[in-house]
Amino acid sequence: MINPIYRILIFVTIALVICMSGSGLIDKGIHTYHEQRIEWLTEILEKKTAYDVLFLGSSRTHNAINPHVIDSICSTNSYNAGMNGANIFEFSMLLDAYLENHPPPAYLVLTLDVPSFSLPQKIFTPSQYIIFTDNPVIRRSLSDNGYLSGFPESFSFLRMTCYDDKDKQDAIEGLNHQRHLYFSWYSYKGFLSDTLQVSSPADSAEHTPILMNVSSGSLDYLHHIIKTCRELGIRLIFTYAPEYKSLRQLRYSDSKQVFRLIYDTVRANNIPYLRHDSLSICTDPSLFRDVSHLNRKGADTYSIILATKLREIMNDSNINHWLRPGLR
Amino acid sequence: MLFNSPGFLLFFPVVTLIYFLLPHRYRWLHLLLASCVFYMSFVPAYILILAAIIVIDYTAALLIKKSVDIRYRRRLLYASFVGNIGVLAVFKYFDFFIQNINSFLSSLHIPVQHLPYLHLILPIGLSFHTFQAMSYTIEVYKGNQEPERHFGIYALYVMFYPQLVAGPIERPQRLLPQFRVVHHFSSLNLLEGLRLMLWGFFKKLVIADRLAFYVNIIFSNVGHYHYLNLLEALLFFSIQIYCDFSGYSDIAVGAARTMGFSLSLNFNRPYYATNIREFWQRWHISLATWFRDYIYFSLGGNKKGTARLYMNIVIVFALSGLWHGANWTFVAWGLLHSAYFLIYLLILRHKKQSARFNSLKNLVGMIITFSAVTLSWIFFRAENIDDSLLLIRQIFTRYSGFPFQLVFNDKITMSYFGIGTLWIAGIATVLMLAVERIFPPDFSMLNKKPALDIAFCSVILSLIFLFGVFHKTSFIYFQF
Repeated sequence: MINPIYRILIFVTIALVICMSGSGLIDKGIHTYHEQRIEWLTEILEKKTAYDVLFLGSSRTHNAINPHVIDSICSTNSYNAGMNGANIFEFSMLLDAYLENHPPPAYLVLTLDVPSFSLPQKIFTPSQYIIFTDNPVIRRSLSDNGYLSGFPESFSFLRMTCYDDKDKQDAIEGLNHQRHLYFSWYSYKGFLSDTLQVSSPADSAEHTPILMNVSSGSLDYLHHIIKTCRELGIRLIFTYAPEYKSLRQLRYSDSKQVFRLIYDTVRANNIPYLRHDSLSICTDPSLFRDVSHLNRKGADTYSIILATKLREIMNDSNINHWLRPGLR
Repeated sequence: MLFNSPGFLLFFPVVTLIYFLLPHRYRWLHLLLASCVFYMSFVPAYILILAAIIVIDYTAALLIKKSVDIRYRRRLLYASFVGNIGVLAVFKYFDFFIQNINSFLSSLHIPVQHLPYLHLILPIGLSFHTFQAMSYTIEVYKGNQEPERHFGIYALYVMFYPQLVAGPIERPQRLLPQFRVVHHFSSLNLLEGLRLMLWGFFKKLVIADRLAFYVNIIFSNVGHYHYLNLLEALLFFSIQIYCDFSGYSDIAVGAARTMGFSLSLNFNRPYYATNIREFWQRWHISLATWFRDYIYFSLGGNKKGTARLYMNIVIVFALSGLWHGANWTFVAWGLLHSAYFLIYLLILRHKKQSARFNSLKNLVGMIITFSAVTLSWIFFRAENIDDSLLLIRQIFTRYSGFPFQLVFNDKITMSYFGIGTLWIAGIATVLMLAVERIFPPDFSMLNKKPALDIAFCSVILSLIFLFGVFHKTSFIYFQF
């Protein structure tokens, strides 16, 4: 009969070894599978490159704005920091985390969506940030949202508590030498898009409108972004990315409330709002991957439209009343 | 404080360690303070409600013991009931009552102003500790229990942190004397307690919280899914609620065991029950016996004729449903179980006893019981009666305009349930059912098999860590 205390020590030790080995494998798989995402996040959260234009938003930014097109038309150095599923909290967090290392960009182009203001879960994919806890903003945000963070390197296996089943499934794919680039092999400065895929008829099927529930605290994060831009002299521009025949906003029963909220903010702060849901390209299915996302052809077409508009704005000293004339 | 929160990882070892470091005479105070901290981590002000219940029952019990006048003793007992049930009525049932009155008035088209709601937040585990407190005064009234004169120890009986918010609902004869016993540190108790806690965490974090993703997607919009999706969700909820609640009980019993306390068995492999009576002898045992001893027997049990027996069963199950929540869905759930029970009694009455094909009969009985219980969870889980009926209609008419989805790959729903999730949940459930079939509920068998014990605990701890769902999720039974 082994003393119960020894039994406890033995089983804890064995479990520790299994967990460390298991988490090591899962980490390795995730790194392989999401190699490109890690590269983008490293650029945003760790590097110090100076960019003139920073694009923030969800997948509708990530898949829609090609910095190559923008830079060639506007003669800028821009970066697309759009993140899948990101909402207003994550935009605010990414901006703060970006500013930890990078100099402030001249322009911040923020794509606001209806779901941006709904915060059932503040960070959409917390696990993607867990290896970036050297950035104090990321560490604090993860910790504030109940995720273990900031542990010493020897306890890095505790990262496992942040991974969900999707991450673990991705890890298995990664261990099988698969990569995440499922809808594109074209990627440039944070932009990722599909070359071939077009909108399918099923995407246009009618949906019962769902209520996104604008979270009460979401406006605070928007105001925080505006305040940061004001303090650092960043020109702020809001956009609404193209969608196929306005079908996306019809999915949400509180779309009007969100647009009213955006228009109120825009008016109060003299922020240019580039609402691109009624462009002629929005009725061409060959430019869309699905109702909400442009494909590569659509993204390039839209980027040209956006860049042309941005160039006009860059020459207009009248925007963002907090900017002194001639500051930029 | 949730058992599955990082705070508890610190709270539990610190409280247990200090418990053994302190001399016996201070231990009650330490446990009482720890229980207050535990309870106040939810809504601090609600400790006052608990304090009021404790004072009422403590005083009532002392006065009951002191008095020889039967009528006065009965009045004191009723006063204690009014105190406990009054708190329940205000915090749990008042808005439900008002809602029904308002609906009734509206249906009669009486032009009166609607009665106002209180909109109070329900104190965590209120039904559990009021029932535990009531069992104390009842037992003192019946003369089965001496009143506890030490106010602190009585308060600890109501507030003992492992079982404070979700049971097991302990009887005073079992728990109160344990606070007076000197518990010396026992490495065997520690091992047994930790083992049970691990098992509870496994059921909660690996199975229940994972299945909850699927169940929540479906039950948030029952009208929008294929009938097979509804059946899948129902099966998952059956497993989820068992793993969630029995997992909590295992953690509670295990945490108490590490300090030398022995709490009641609350679940005894209920899904292996071969009939509905057996199910209720195995499911939420502490509540089922509470209703049996204090309501069913008080109503006359089976001693007042068949018609009265049937009525008593219906009353007890309806009340048991209402205990769970202020919603007609819970009452419907209770009534459905009473119907099962009555059908079972009728079959029993007309069935010829035969020992032939016993194994097959047991298997068939197990499948029928599990199916019936699973069907009843529709009312337990659905938001309202309309949703419950819609779900039943869709399952039985097999009509829906939506395609079947075995899994949900769209992470936008915030409740991703991919094929990997299904595999993990499936394997873990089979493992859980096999382990509970092989080992007794307290796993005492493993004490004599160190190699198997070490292997079992290592695997379970690793599985919790590698496949646990560590997002903040509450226990289903906390709401009661």
